[in-house]
Amino acid sequence: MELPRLQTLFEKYIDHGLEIVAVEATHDTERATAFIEKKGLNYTLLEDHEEDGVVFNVFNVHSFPTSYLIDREGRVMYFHLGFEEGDEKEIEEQIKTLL
Amino acid sequence: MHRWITVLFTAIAAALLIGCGAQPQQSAEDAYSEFRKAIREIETSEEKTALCEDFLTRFPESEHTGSLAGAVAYYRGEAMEDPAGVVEYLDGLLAKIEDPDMRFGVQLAQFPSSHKTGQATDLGGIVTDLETHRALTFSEHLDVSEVAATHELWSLAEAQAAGASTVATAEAFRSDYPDTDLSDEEIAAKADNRSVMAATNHGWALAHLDRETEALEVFETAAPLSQSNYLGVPSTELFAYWGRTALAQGDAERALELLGPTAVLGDNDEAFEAYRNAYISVHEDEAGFEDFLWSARQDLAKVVDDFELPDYEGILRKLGDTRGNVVFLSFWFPT
Repeated sequence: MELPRLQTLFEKYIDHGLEIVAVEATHDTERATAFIEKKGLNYTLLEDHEEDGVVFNVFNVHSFPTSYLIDREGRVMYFHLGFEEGDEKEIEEQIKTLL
Repeated sequence: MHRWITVLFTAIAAALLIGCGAQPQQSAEDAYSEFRKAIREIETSEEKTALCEDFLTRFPESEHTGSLAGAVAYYRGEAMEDPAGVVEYLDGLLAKIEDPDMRFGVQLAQFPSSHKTGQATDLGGIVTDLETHRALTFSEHLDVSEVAATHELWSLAEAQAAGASTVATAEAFRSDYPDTDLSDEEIAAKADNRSVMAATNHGWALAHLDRETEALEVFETAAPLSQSNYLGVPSTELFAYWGRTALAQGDAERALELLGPTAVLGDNDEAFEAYRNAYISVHEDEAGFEDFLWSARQDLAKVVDDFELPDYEGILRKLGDTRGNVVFLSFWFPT
């Protein structure tokens, strides 16, 4: 799980207008809640566990994680498949171009 | 720890039961379930290699043979950088295997390591051996064409990609997955996707055989079958390879067109490099590239769909409420 790495990014740029929204296609709400508390994640984490839900049906996501970086006007400016170590640097650079 | 307990238990059980003339053996499937659990818990490539090799040594002929041989090639060959060790180990394994399906899987997994250590193995021969027993499946044709392409064996890559194209049909898909509960529409989509994957490899191989006209025809014919992702960007690599082919043939303008969406919003490093090179080729200078890229990004950008989902406190949250801020939106599947 790389969700904790997003927390660092969030804390760094929250005052500059960055929001992080992580949507999990999950079936285990309790486990997720415990994880969030344990790791101290305070960005927005949402649950999508409908079969005809958003993740698969609107965004057509089949590879995880899939990420979109959205500008202040709601437009998707960058796309990432996966989240390897070191990707945070690239994402941070991209965030800075949009802030 | 778990693995040693299993080995100990098996040894004790064997010792106890041999006197009764019975052969106690853990079944391959039970061992494989244990293997699956164990491999998730260990971290180093050395341990993972040992676990895979342990299973294969105990069960050389099972339905997992091919994929585990591939795992050994990855963990020992690439991660541990010991291709000679891979060749040696898999030679030992091959000596115990007669089934042609399994031999194929193991030999294909071994090939890159053999190549690295200068031991010429005949990849075409590996295919022929299997073909004397049965036709290759789509996946097998595609896998061979990719391994061949990686090693610049372009004739074989072309032949195998052409073979893959021939079996990229709905019938063949149903034959590969007889128990599938996918609808006819879904199967047709899978078949189209397979056609695109085969065409990508085929066109690329043709281009490397200096059969450029044919290459472009193959790419062009497959293009309408290529799906786009949520952002309207091709979700296959067809356009990336087509664009790179165009660039190699000196048609940089066409390359820019073909590569654009994939390079700008596709998260594909090779496509991006080719796109940048195409730009430099057209403008003879890198100077305006950043601006060009930014402008392309603006043109491709789509407004994200709004949605409403509950957070973990049960409160419904709308994505639209973030408007005015920069948002990193990501979709995760829990492991």
